[in-house]
Amino acid sequence: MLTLLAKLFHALNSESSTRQIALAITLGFIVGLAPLFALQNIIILFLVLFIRVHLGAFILAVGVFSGISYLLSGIIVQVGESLLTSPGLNALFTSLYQLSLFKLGHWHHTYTLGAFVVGIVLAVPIYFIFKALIVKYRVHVKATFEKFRIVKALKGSSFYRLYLNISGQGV
Amino acid sequence: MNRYLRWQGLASFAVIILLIVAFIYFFIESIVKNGIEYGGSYYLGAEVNVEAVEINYNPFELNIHGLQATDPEKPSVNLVSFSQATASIDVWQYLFGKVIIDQVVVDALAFSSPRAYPGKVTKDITDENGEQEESELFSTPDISLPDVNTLLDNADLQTVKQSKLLEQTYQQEKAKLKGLKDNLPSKEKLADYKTQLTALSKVKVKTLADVEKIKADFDKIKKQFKADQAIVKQAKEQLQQSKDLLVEHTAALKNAPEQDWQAIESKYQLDKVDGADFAHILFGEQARDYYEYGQVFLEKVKPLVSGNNDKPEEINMGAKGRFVHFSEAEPLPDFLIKKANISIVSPQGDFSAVIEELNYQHWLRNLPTTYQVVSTNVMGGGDAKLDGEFSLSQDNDVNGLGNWAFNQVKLTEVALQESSKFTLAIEQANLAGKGEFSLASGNITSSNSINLSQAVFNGSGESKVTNMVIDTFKGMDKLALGINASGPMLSPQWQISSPLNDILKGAVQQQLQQKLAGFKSKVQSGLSDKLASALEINSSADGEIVELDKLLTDTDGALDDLKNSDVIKQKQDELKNKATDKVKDKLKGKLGDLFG
Repeated sequence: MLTLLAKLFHALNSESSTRQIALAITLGFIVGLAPLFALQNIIILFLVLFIRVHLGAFILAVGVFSGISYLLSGIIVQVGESLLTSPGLNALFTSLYQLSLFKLGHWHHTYTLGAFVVGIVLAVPIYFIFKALIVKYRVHVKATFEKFRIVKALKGSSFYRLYLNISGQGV
Repeated sequence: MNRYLRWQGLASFAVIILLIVAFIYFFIESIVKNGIEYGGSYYLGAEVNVEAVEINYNPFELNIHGLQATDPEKPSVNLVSFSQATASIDVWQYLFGKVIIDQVVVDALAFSSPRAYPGKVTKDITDENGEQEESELFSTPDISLPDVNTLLDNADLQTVKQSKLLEQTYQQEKAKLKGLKDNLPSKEKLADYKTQLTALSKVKVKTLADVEKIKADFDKIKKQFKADQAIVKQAKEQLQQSKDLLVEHTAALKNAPEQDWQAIESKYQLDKVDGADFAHILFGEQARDYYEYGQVFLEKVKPLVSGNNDKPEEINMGAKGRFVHFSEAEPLPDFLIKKANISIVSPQGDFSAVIEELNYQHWLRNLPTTYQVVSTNVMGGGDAKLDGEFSLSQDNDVNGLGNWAFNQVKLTEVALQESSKFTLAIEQANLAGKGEFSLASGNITSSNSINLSQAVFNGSGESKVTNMVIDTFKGMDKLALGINASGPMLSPQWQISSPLNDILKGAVQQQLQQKLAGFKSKVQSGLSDKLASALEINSSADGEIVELDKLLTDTDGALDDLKNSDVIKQKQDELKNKATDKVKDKLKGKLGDLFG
């Protein structure tokens, strides 16, 4: 966990592309919301490994958003429930239901569909919010943080040594 | 392109998937084993053990060896156990969210088998036992009649409950009325209003402005009258509500003794005693017990099979969601066992059961669940068979039919009556019987006949009546019973007929009826006493209500008088008279000058 955090801080402080980190967090958000072995998660895992996004940020985001998904589960199920039981969408879902892939993806399950829809809808704002936050962090927060005593104290800790090792600045 | 893609990621993906598959392949058996043990223990509230789980992949088959589920009420025995169960599961449908089992084979299914060591119990069963003890108060039909004091001490009597309710309501309403009474304008306050009005009436008016000032002062006081009158109005409404509530509860209390008597009569089958329906008294409870076994079994199995999956769950934190299935060309139920072969081992004999199409959505495949249970060694040599089918409709109606028969079943030491004052048992007998039943829209119709031959009875009794019954039984070696049930599945009406009734009529009936009349009079007098003491509360409540009603009427009247006071009109008239007098004086002066 500490290694992952150190990797994330290294990414935030390094010259890694903000887009790569923000995309990793966004994909981690979609995976974190859905049940672990959902088909959509396997596809996203494939994407994360295949395209250049920051893996540390992705894994941390999955962990954080999995926790948050428990708090949001009521809303997620409600979204899935209202979509799957909506009379207007019945014909669409009935035709999708005839496809094995649809059933294999459990998109006829209120939680899985709700998580998928909430994840996709919020993915765009999450991407841009985190992209902006990372830029702001690099410009403002990092410099301010450097001045704090606690940060100076942390610099003497084993976590910071780990961070230096990861970033290649360690002895 | 390489700026955006990570080709080595493909290999990583393949490795991760392979690792997951390998993990599942190597550990799935222990995961399933632990899942059954933990899940079973959680559901049952007692230790569940599984010797081993084996999974074959082609075709996909789950083998469970040596399952033992502890009975939470008797940890030294198993509620259910089997030596092996094999289930062929349709994996594809499982991945689609449905459990479709092509075949299940269960070997040596046993109920109440002893455990090698007592299982751990995690569920608190104290409450359930409490309930059981309570219900036992009303469970044993007995020719010797229940104890009157025990009956009258029972807290479940409506007379007791309604008395408590009346007292509770009285206390609650009393507190409400006291609160309102405290807020009512006091006598001093009313007197003060009067004084203020009198003071206003004594003020001398010379100009219109004086009248206006008095009017303003009066309006100020009137505002207070109105506020007080609102309080009185609210109190009157509350009083009416309290009155209605107390009247309602008193009426319920007055009806309670009659209801209690009817409940006692029905629970103890006193109507049957009255009608000398001895067959019902002696065998009715056994028939109901066997019927209840079936009901309890269905209640236990129903949630396991249905999974409660067809209704939206309450939306809250930790919600898990549900599958919503849509119509398809060949619909399948959410849960289906196409065929189950079960061998059952019980102290009564070995049974083999074949069940087909076990599910709870019969309308989807339009096929009922069918079952056949057969045994050739019931009680050491008797034959038994049970055939039937049932189906559930979309409206949750159960429809079905079935028949059963058994022959040459040897009974030994079967208790028919077991109370402190009367015991009757079949020492030995040969039992044969057959019956049929049908279920339609939640109602059952069943007719059954049972024949005992080469019967030997024994028993003991304390009263003349019970001894006469025991002697009659001892003189018989054959007994035929016709048992019919009809009505709602959960509470059918039972009719039990037998030549026994004719044999026992006469002297026994006369004695029983005398005893019953005495019993009825004692119970009813006890209930009347309870009613009388409870009604005392009502009479004191009545007195308080009348007193408060008078107070409210008086206060309201006094406030009305004050509000309608004509002090302003008096002052206006006074001013008018003064002005008239003044004009008159002036006119008189001028006329005096003119004629003077």
